[in-house]
Amino acid sequence: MEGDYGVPTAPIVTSRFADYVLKDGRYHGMNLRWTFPPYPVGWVPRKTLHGYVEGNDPITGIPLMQEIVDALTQPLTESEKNPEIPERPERPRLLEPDTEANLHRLFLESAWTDGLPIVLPTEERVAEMLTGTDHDPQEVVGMMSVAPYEEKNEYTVEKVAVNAVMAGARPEHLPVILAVASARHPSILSSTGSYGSMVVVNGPVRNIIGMNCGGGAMGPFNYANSVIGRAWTLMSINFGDACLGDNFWATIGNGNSFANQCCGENEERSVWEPFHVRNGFKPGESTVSVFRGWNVMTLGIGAADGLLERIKSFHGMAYTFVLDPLVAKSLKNDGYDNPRKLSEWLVKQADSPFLRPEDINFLVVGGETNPIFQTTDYVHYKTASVDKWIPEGGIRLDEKPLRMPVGLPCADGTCGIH
Amino acid sequence: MKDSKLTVLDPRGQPSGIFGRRGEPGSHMMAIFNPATQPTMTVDELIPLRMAPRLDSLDNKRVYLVDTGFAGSHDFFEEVQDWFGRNMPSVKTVLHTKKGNMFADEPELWAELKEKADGVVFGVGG
Repeated sequence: MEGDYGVPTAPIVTSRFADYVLKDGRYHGMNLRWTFPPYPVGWVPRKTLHGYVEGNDPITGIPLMQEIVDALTQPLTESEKNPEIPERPERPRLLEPDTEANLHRLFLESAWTDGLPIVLPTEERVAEMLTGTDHDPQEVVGMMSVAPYEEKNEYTVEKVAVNAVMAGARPEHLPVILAVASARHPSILSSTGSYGSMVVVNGPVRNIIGMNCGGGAMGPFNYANSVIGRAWTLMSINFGDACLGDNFWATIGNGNSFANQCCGENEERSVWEPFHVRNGFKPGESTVSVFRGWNVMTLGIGAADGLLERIKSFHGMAYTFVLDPLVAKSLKNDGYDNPRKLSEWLVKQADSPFLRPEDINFLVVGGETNPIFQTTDYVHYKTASVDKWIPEGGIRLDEKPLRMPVGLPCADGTCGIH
Repeated sequence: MKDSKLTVLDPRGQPSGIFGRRGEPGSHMMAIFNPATQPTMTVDELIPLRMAPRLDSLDNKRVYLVDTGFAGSHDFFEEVQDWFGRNMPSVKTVLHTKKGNMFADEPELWAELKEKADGVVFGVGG
């Protein structure tokens, strides 16, 4: 409006986000004439809105409507006529040497962690982590920001390794963590709506690094699942520059964000083709698939009708159902020999103008202790290759890899299920 | 040992000079959150916004009140419209609710504003 069309504009945003838009404007060279009514504007009585319009801007103390009129009529100042975009300073590779205690304090107080203890990324530890891939440490893996419009931060293989060390991972996990990073999706996002995220691993790498795809796979009972999921959050914080109250605005937050929902798909017990194969990869390839949304409902029962009931009650724009293998088996027995057929049936029955078959995803995860499914309104954003990050000699396992106990007897010694 | 110093690496990403921008017209609501479908702009392309010259006054001018679609915005702008009617009756206000959701583009609206609006009040974000 302003620059291209020459139409003077008075933008309005609630006072809760005044700092954010002012900062964002400075870094975009958009020093607009904002007006800030009190917060919130949504779901308040009409008389409250009347009071906002008749009252003052709580940030500036100026009568709100006078401020709007002035925004359109007061002549431009010199700084408004000649705005400048400040450059953000480059960050050092190494931090100032300090004691272990002081560095832990620095990381915590700088909000470079998730609030839980971390492993400090010393040069030695990062160098060891980098043995988990053949890629050049300075190779750029991607960019991300937790606020979609903000300047994105670039990250290299080495930066990914730093965050993998912090999460407590070992070199065997690095290819999967690099694949997650290559998807360029932060697991947390600045929306007020408290997003949750999920990463699901497919292919041979699941079993090589001991991921749990069976009983309790989404829970805190597996080393690989936990550190891969946690590394994603640490990368999102540090690559996305997430800063609570500055660019991160989730009003309640999401408990899933600590380590996200991270597991492998239970390909061995699924009656369907694996998720990555349905998305164009070969069965022998290893991948990560990243998902994000708001809601998770764990206890779902029933087959196709049960899924439809959830869709009708959620009113989402996308669904990712996590099915115990027993549920997938039951659905196949009902005639849904592939998930696409089921998606199409659900879209037809749901009769929603927004829903498309490709917006409904199915993952098979679980230990067959109960035919239960989990409903999420997660969007599937991307499936990325793990194989490209695996060293030529294969996954670099420790001499004696760390593995947590498997709770259920295994049929084949790998997946944690009968 | 307790007081010996360690050298560690900075875990943060490096500012890239690349910014996200608005989604494509008619794109899916969630597309803006997807780096694969989110256009980017380099800092060189990101020239500072030149603000439009201001009006001498709003007397007899046409001011569009554009509701972006956030909760409460329409009701808020109805109150703003009432205020103009009571306090600056010569101002012609046009209340328009943007099509689709708050992230969706509406090129027809921008064209209409270019042609017909003397000023625009846009909100309410957040």
